[in-house]
Amino acid sequence: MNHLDTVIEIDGVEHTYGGGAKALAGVDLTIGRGEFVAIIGRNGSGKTTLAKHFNGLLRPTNPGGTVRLHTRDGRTVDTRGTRLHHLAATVGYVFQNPDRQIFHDTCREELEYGPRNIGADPETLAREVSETMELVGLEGREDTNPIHLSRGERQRLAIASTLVMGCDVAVIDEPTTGQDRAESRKILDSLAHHHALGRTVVIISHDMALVAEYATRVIAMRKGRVLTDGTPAEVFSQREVLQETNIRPPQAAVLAAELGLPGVLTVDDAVREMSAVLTRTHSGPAPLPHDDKVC
Amino acid sequence: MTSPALAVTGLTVRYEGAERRALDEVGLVVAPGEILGILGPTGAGKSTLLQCLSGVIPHHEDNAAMRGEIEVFGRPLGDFAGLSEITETVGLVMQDPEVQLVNTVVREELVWGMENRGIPVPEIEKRLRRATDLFDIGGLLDRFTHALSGGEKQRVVVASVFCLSPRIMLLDEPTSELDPAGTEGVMDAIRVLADEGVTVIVVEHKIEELAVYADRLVAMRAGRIEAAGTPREVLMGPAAPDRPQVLDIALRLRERGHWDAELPLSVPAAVAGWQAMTHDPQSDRNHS
Repeated sequence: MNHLDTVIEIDGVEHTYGGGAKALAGVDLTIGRGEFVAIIGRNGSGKTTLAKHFNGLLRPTNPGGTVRLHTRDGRTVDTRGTRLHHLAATVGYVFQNPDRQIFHDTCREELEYGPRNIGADPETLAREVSETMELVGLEGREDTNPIHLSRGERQRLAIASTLVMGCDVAVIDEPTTGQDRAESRKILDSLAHHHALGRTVVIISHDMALVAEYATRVIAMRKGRVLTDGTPAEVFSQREVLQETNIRPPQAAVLAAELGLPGVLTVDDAVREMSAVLTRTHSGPAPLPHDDKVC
Repeated sequence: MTSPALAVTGLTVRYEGAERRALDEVGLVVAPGEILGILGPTGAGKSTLLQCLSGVIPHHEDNAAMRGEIEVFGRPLGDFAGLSEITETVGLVMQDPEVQLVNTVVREELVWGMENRGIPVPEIEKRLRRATDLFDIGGLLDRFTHALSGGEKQRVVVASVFCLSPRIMLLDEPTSELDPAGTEGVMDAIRVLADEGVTVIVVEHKIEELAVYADRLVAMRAGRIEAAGTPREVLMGPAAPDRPQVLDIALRLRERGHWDAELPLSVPAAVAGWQAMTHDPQSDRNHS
């Protein structure tokens, strides 16, 4: 992968917190432009610590570790020597708890704040704000005070305030914590839309069903290191490796593995493969025409 | 006949200035030692219901008008002398663990409530050991509460409520920030407590865990109970906001005339159903 395709480059990064706990124990990683990356791993495996290095919220604590960003205009920036606000235009970050980053009295002001700071044109900004509100399903709530939104809605507002910056990379720490299924899907769909515009999305998640469905790459962490890294199909097929990190693949994938059916990640995959076997086994009722669209 | 742990009739709540009722004529009976799971989308009234059952509404919330009957082990909640007496029977774990962590060190957090109750020291030590085992927090006892991860905070808060030995535990998304292994650990602990007679009401979005651990489920929407029954009954019905993937798969195969085994709620049940259906000599290679 050459530098034009790479957006984040991480070499030999370690991070030790004040109390002496080593949260990252040597991470090498390259994230490509246009990837949809999911970082998975048990509580305390270093996922959030790693993600906070992407935009300089944390810097490596070992002298040899480097985090470099390759910006759209062809520059290479080392996060160690660069001030946060210069990195924020390239990598946006959404915290696990949205209430840590919402501070305005209306949703509109919340969304306008970041782009204004980096000199956005007011007319373009007004249009982008309403487009982004619609993208996350908050249209019509522009003048609402965020304290009147539900936790799920505040999470989407926090995500919107990052997406509206038009950053190359959006990093979202646990976008679906405490969300119901419909809200979780709405959030992932808005990230998928952002990704379809050619941007890079990085999420941290425990929801393996959504990871399997949306991510193009999965990075599993364990004890401050990358345990395994690949496509969702590659990573979720390594069941023994995953057991070390307490991750369970989505139920559909676990079931299919138990049944000896390869290549299943989602419910759709499982229905298709199991249907095929049952049709062969029983020579029972033939599948309906346009079988996959029945449900 | 023994009284139910909780009996709720016609429970209706409206927050000041709200367009609709947060709870609308909710009725519910929960047996002692039962694990009742509550499902529903955001805004269904799940947290409001737990706040009524714990007395937070009306005792601690001025902006909610409430009517209806709640009986705890046959005694109307209105007859209790306020929140402090209710909490001797009913323990509440709120959605945001930070709201109820009040001490700086985990051990103090666990002991504090018991000391306030005047529980003898040997009993405090016994419960502390039990809480440590059940919720796997042995390594956290001397940590600062503010420095814990979200998932660790959740386990500490559930453990501190357990230490007060309530006969009824109300848990509002107690595993939302826990990884799959941590979630299973908390659910296992809840099962152990229920088997000892503790009544548990748990609000959760994690449907695959709830399907296996809950004795009964209630599905709520817009302040009303839309369905109640065994996990299988509720999850198969139209009111289920979500289903375990294995149940979804079996239902879709059934629509195609392909699944005549019992509908599964877990991976082992789905494997067993599959083996029953494909059990013919020619298909042995599929389930060896």
